[in-house]
Amino acid sequence: MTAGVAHDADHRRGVLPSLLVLGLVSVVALIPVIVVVVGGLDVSAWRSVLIDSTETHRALINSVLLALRAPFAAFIGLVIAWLLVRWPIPGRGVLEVSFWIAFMMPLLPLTLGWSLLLDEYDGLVNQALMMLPFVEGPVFDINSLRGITWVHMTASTVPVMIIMLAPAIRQMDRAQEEAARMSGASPAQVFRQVTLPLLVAALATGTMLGFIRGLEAFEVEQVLGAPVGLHVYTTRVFDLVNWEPPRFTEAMALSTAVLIALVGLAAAHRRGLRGRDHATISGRGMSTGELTLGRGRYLISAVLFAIIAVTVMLPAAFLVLGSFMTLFGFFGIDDPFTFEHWRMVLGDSNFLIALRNSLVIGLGAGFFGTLVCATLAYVIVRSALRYRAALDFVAWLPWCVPGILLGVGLLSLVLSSPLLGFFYGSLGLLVFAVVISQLPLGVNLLKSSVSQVSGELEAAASVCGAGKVRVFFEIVLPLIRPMLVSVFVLIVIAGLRDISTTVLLAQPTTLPLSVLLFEYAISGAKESAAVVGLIVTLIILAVALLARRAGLMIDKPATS
Amino acid sequence: MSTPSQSDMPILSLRGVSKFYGRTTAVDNVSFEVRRGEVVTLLGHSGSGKSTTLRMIAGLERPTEGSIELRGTTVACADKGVFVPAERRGIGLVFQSYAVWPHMSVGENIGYPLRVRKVPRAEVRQRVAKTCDLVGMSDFIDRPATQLSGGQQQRVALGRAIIHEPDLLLLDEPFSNLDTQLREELRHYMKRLQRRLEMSVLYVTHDQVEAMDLSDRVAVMYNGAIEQLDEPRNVYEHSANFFIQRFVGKLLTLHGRVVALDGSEAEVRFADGSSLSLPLPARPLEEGMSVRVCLRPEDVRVQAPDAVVTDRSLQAEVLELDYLGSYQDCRLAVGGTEVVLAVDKAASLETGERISLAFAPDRVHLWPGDGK
Repeated sequence: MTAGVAHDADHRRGVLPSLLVLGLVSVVALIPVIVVVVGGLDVSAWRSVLIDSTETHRALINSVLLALRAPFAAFIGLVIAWLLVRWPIPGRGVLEVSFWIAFMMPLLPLTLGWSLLLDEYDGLVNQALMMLPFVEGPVFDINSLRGITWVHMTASTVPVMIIMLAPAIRQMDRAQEEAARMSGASPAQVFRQVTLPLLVAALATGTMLGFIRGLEAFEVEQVLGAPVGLHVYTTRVFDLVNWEPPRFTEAMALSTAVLIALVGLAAAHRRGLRGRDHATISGRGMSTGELTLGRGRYLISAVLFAIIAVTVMLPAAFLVLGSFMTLFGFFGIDDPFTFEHWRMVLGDSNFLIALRNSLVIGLGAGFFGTLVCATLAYVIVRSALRYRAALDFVAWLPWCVPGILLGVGLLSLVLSSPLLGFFYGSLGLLVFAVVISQLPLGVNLLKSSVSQVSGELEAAASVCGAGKVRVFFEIVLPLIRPMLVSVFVLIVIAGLRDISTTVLLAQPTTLPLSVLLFEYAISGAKESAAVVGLIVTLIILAVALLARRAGLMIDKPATS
Repeated sequence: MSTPSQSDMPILSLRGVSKFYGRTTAVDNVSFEVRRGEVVTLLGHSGSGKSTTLRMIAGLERPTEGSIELRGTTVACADKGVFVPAERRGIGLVFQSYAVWPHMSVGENIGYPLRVRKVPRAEVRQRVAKTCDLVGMSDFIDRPATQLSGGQQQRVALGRAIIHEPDLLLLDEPFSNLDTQLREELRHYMKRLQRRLEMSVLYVTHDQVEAMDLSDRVAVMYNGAIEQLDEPRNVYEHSANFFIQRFVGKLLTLHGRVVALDGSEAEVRFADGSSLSLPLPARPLEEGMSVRVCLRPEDVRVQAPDAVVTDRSLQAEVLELDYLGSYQDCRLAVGGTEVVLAVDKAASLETGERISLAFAPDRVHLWPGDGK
């Protein structure tokens, strides 16, 4: 029976309410973008920032060079995900949780840890290597394209790929790989000749996602690149806005140009995902089959544990160490360790305000965002509004808007309009920004969840006499509750770790912890940054682990 | 609920109702009535439009054409743009999938219609208990709905559909997901329940046995239209056309050609050269016309080939015998056609044996046309 579909068809009327809903969502999701685009349509600004400025050219080239890590990360992620999902590797549970934690962790604190290890002059690794007889100068330099790439790869891009690709592998029928083994193929041959070809599409969309996310990255580039004059376009936009007086028009011209490119890329990505939505997000309960493996599994296990140790534990340990250092990175001085920074940060009223702000932003965005996402998802999937395809598109669009551009748009919006002026300097603005930035993820997860609720379950309530609003709150929401919890947690975590969207909007009174950490880091107070970074990381990990115990679902079926 | 003046008014009536999805016609100009206390079944293959008709009556779909009246009030009229949504029609509906909500207990599921109607809590509790008793779920009242078997879910769905005492109950293939034994049990249970509550009931099913057993009247649907609406006996014995006759029960169909007509009888010759003289049907026949000669298996007696018969008979050869427990399926060559006839398990037939099939002439149906 096509109950759900048929159910849709009979409300397919009402142009006015459709337009109203579409308009409302568009205003919320698109206004910042429109402000950027309109503000950026200035010929002289285009000339000065895009054509005449070699700095911009170099920044754009750097952005692209950095984003090129995506295919490599996707491939590494695929191999690791495949090993974790398909092979009975010792310690697999621990490994999975570790990569999951790495996926959730905020980037900047780990960046600080890495800079202790890989700084050109004071990095411990360099100093250790230079003790070797044949090493002349420093080997690694974290303040470089290579350094930034390394931090991104280890702390975010590869874990993201693992988390993203694992469900796609779980979805694959194990029998296809087993058939290859029965035909005499070795594990490596199975991967090369069966698994890889079957997952080419997933790999391609993963690469595209990594590329787009790479182009949107901001804080690592700002902390590692900017001090040595290495710019990407997001840090360039940040600079232009922070100029005295701010060069808004140029910032927006640059943003517009990048946005056009990003929307194009993202549309291609979306096209690639089409028809695979359900395959990657929801499972049909197919056996998560494993293949058998000989003693090689111990070797694989050891390698994966080593990867976790080097890429996550090591920088995390040095972040802890750094928070106790008298002078960040200087191990050689007389009295290298102290509690002073902890005492200072914890005693600082700014810290307490920031902590409060972070919690308000996280929880506020969590509640508000989940409700908005659920309503939108329901309307898009179930209602027969005339323009629901457009609505779907609008709700998805912020996905390809870099946080910093969203920030520029919102900032110039509240500054330019006296009506919205009161919004400036309020936490509401930051909550709003986080919600917009998380709209695409939340709506998409909930869409898949809603579409799995049988239309007859809703029709049954209608027949019982329940109106549409009642059906939504009493039948639909309870049925998708597991996914609601997941989306809530994801938005809370996004709110806690976000820097790029909120950095331009936060005022001293509305500064959240993440931005406080960022400001410490770029102002050279790295010891305090390490303390705050550690606290942010711990809060996020606590939320993430609690959520995981409660059954957070990113890749599991929503309802059974 | 019903006042004397309303009692002879149909509770439900459809007039020229059609539903189009784009260019496909799901329901084609359907008109019928359900009287108070009457049980009517919409019988048809999947895709015949019966479920869509039911959903339009429930208010889950809008008719593209025509109008629906409930208790004398128009609830849907395509011309006037009237449409009363499902939640304001006060009908009970049991879904094919049961649609029992997994996030509520048995009692919460069943009591939901009362909660929506803002019935006081104590009364809800009391009526839920009563309804659970009625549908035999008293022992499960606090059990989560996820821990129920198919038959139990069916009972919950039924309880939920009748707790607010609707005067019209709709059931969409209510027994199709159950195993044979349970299906029969629930069918008889439904019959008793309907008599006890004196509800008007509209079933949708593709199972002709269910339709025959449960209904006062059966509407056979084909390609979105109602082909025949009559009492079960008439639908079975006086089917309006070949399609209905074949659909509502087992049928032996032979293919032949009219070779002679003489006022009261027609002579039909079969492919193997044998021929049979049969009473003329009401439908006009012409010489040379292809006809289907149809017989219900229960109207056929198997006899020795040389037995003396007063009825008509046809010679047949046993091709194959399949033992099926309570009976045997006997594949026969009759008049150049192969047919399958269920015969008594005790009948001592052998492959290759020649037999005679005897039947009363008035039991034969002649339908113009050929092919299956």
